[in-house]
Parts: sequence; C-alpha cells; structure tokens
Amino acid sequence: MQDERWDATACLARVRMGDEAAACQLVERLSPLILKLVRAHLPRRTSEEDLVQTVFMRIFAKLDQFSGTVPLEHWVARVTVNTCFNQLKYERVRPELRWADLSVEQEEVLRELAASTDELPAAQNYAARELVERLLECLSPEDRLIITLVHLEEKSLADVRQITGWSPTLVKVRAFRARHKMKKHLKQLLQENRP
Amino acid sequence: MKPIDEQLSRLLRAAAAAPQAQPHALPFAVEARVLGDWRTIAARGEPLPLLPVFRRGLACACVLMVVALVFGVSQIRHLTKDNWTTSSEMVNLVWMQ
Repeated sequence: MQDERWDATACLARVRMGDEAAACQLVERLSPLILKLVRAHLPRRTSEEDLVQTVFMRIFAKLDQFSGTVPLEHWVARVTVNTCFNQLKYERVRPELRWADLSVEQEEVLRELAASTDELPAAQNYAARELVERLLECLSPEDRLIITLVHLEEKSLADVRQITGWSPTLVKVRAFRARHKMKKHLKQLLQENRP
Repeated sequence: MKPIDEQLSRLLRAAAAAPQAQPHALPFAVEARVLGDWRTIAARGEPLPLLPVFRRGLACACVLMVVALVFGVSQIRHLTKDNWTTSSEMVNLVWMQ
C-alpha cells in the first residue's frame, strides 16, 4: 500500500511537471475507480463518457490542491461524487412514479414484495436495482446521494463523511429523511396496485 | 417494524446485491479526449506562477485602501466645530458678495 502511494505521489509530481506519459499512467490507474463511481451515481440523462471526461478535467485542474494527506483514491472519489452530485442538481426531480411507468419485471418485484416477507429471489435483484433507481429519481440530489452511498454501496458512516464532507449528524439526518421519502413513494406505488 | 419499512429494506438489499458491470479500461476515444483536456490545462497552467503575485498585490491594495479610509474618517472626526463654522462663514461671505 505504501509503495502504491509512493508511486502515486511520484506520478503526480511528473504530471504537474507536464509529463504526458505520467498523465496517461494516471488516467489508466484512476479510470476503473472513476467509472465505477460514475456508474453508481450517474444522472439518468447524462452520458457516462461525458461525465468521466468532466471528472478527469476537474481532477487535472485541481491537482495542485491535492496535498497528499489522504490517499489519492479518496480524494478522487470525493471529486467524482461531487461532480455527479452537481450534475444531478441540473436534473429536474420527478414528482412521482406511477405503476404505468414500470416495466413488467419491476411490477413483479413489487408484487413479490407485497405478497411475501421473504428476501427477493436473486433473479429479481437486477429489476430491484432498476426499480430503486427509478424511485431515486423522485428524490432530491442530496437524498439520492445518501441512499446510494448508505444502502446500495453499503458505505460506513465514516466513508460517507469522507466522500460528502457532511457532518455525522447531517449524514444521519439526511439518511433518515431520504429513507422516509423513499418509503412514501414506495407505499404510493404499492397502494396503486392494491385491488 | 412497519411492513413498508421491511418492504423497503428488502428492496434495497436486493438492489445492493444486483450484479454491477465491472468497469473496464476507458474507451480509446474517451482517453484521447481526457488527455486532450490535460494538454489544454497543462498549457494554460504556464502563466499561473504570476497568479500568487497578483493575489498578494490585490490584497496589499485592499489593505492600503482600508487604512486610507480609516485615516480619512478619523481626520474628519478630529475637525472641531470651529473648523466647520469658519468654513460656513466663508461660504456665506462669498454668497453675500
């Protein structure tokens, strides 16, 4: 880990001096992490490639601000999540999700949720993820971010604090409120299908 | 726990367990665009060493401006009533002529 960090520091120094080979190396090294984060927080109407490019631009522009007190990956994760979060602010929050908007698979997930108290079958996990993403569209950017980090990526409180820069109390309050709002939307959907 | 709480928890657990596409390397076109951006930023970065000097100069100018303002205000406060009266008398004299 120490060696990796030292390499990153040396690479950054070369990038700052204008070494293109080092810049290539940095892009190759960081792209899997950035792609993963961008996919997890991607606003629906934004191209993944465009967002990755924006993130890299911000990283290069702010490279002088990286002090090296935290691992490079943590700093990059924070820049990436903040870029996605800013992009989400431009998207209009969907007022509500209706049963008619759902795919057949998503409807099946809801029926299964209402009919049984068991865990959803693994075959429905993908449809469940899509359904959650659609429910997230009804929430504000802050609520979307906190639900994604806490429930989908299963990050700890410390990790969420580090990525968002929010205080522990704010993280807890936002997580609680976001979950409450999501519950309201889910309840509305389930009631819509009730005979 | 209310049924809706439990339903949401199950839904979120299933969503978290959904397989995610593993990120691969960036497509060549995106990598080329990113490196193009880096070249632009690196080229633009050359005049940046002057920026701290400019910032310090601006800060010094602001400090001087505040000092001058404070000095000016304190000078006005030190003017006695007579100064103002004399000035008024002078104006009146000129006016009367």
